[in-house]
Amino acid sequence: MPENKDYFVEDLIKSSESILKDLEEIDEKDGLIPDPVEEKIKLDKQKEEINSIDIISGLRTDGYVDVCVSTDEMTATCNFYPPSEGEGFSGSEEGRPIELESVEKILETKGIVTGINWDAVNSAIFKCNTERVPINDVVVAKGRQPKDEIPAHLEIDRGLLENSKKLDMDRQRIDYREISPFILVKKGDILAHVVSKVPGALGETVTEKSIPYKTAKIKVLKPGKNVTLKDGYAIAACDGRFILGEETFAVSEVLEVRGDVDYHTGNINFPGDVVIYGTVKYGFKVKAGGSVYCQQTLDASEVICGGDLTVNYGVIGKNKGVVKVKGNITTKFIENCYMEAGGNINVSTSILNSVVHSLKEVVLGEKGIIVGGKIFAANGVEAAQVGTRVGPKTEIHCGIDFSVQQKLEWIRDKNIELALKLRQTDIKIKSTESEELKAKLSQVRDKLMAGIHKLNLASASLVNYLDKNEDAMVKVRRNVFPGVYIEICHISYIVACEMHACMFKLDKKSGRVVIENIKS
Amino acid sequence: MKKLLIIDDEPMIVDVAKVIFKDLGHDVDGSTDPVAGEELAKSKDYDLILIDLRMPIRNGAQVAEGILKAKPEAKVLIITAYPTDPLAKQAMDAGAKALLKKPFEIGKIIEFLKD
Repeated sequence: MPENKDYFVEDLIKSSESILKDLEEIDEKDGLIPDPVEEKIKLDKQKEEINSIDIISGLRTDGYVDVCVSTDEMTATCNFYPPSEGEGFSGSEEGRPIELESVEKILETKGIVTGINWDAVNSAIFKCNTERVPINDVVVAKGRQPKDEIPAHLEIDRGLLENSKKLDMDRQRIDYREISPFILVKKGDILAHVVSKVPGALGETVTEKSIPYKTAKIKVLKPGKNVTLKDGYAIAACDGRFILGEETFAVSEVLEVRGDVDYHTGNINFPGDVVIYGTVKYGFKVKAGGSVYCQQTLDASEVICGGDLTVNYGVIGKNKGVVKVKGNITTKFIENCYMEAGGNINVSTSILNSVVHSLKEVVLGEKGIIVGGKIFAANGVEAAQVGTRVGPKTEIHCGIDFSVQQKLEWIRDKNIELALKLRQTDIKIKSTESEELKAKLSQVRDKLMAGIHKLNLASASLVNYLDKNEDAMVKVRRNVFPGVYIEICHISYIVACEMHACMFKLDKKSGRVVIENIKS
Repeated sequence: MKKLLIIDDEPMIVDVAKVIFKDLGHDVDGSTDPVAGEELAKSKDYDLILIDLRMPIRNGAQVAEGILKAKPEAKVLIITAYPTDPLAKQAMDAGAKALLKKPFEIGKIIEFLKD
């Protein structure tokens, strides 16, 4: 039976002999190590270092930590290396685990004192020790960035800026003419609020070095025209357009449109005056609380204003244009348009096929002509020519407040509707034999009669407000042509033959329109 | 209370005018036949006579001429859709005071009844 070898003892003996052999050449008296031995020592050391990676599995290695601080010293990161595991058979021993105290010591040595994340440290230690895996790049400390100083300033109300160009996406159809780039405000609206000064705060590196703060670069806006400061708010001092400039913000009572009123601008609805440097394009609307100045033309558009209207070129209505103005209208020409003015209407060249109403006078320029359409002017009309030889017929009505006239016409229409219903009711009452139905119809009849009576009272009262101007006259400096219809204070006159330089006026005695010659 | 006569070949207009002006407190006669209406105007005194311009058999201008010839002081108003109608001119020349736009102008009629 072969002898059982004890491999452990054999190995021990062999290795011991090898070590002892190395010692043979050492002189024990003077401690000198001969060159070959020294060379061997060096080689052994090199070998040890080269094989250091294997030592961890072969020999006992304690857990340890590397620390790295960023160049700006704002972060510190650690790599955690686990201790070696013990392996009984090969003889390696279990290394000591990383301890919190050792990490504290390393951090302190590196001067890391600020912003340490102990939770991250503890968690990395635990994971590294228990799972025996290296944990790298763990941010264990972070510096504190400085906080900028914010100077006191005015901040524009966010809602104000968002309110421009607004689309109602819920609507099935979007009228892009209703979208306006202008921000309109009312008197008393809050435009901005005061933001108080926010002091700056110093920063700190992980090594406890302080970092100075800066002053934040903020656009400091100053309140401009028509803006008042009250209780920490900037408030609009009048209705108008909000204007945000580079250094100031203001409210302008005048809206300037640098081009046409079209899809770029949308319809205009402005509380103050509006200045348009282009044309009001087909289908667009301009509504102004004040006056409107248009440098070019109104092209089949709708213009309503509380002041005067001045159109540098002219008004092209295309039978769709509507102009309603509380003050005066001044333009070069008007064609195929409906127009109302509380003041005078001054037209330099022509009024063609238009319905024009004025509570004062309609005056045309030196060669101004009126052809076709209807002119209603409370105080009279003056033109160079009215009508043409073959053209469309022209009507001129003077001496009456057209607004009252319009109300009377509305009453008339309603009255006729009621009277027709009454007629039908009467026929039904006559034809029916049912007493019950007759009673019902009689009730309806009474109500219809009451309605007619009410309207009649209103019209009888309104007639007093017609503001008849019996002195109103139609002055024609050159020619008036046959077929022109002239009515002054409800008295009619139809021009029968071409006349030159004449004036039509009401003869109060005879109650007729008479003609007088004037100097042409 | 004033006396009013309306001559119009459209019965509906005559009826409506009667209802409205009676309610205003006036005595209203109406005729849809221009000839009969003219005779009525000549035989009775009216404060205001309204005559439609375009009627069959005898137009409003002729009716107005007939009435005003018999009664030059009569106050005649002509109802027309087109004030520039040549017949309107004829009626005006005959002595009609004014033109009324169809179907009629209440304000204008009230004014003439006042005068």
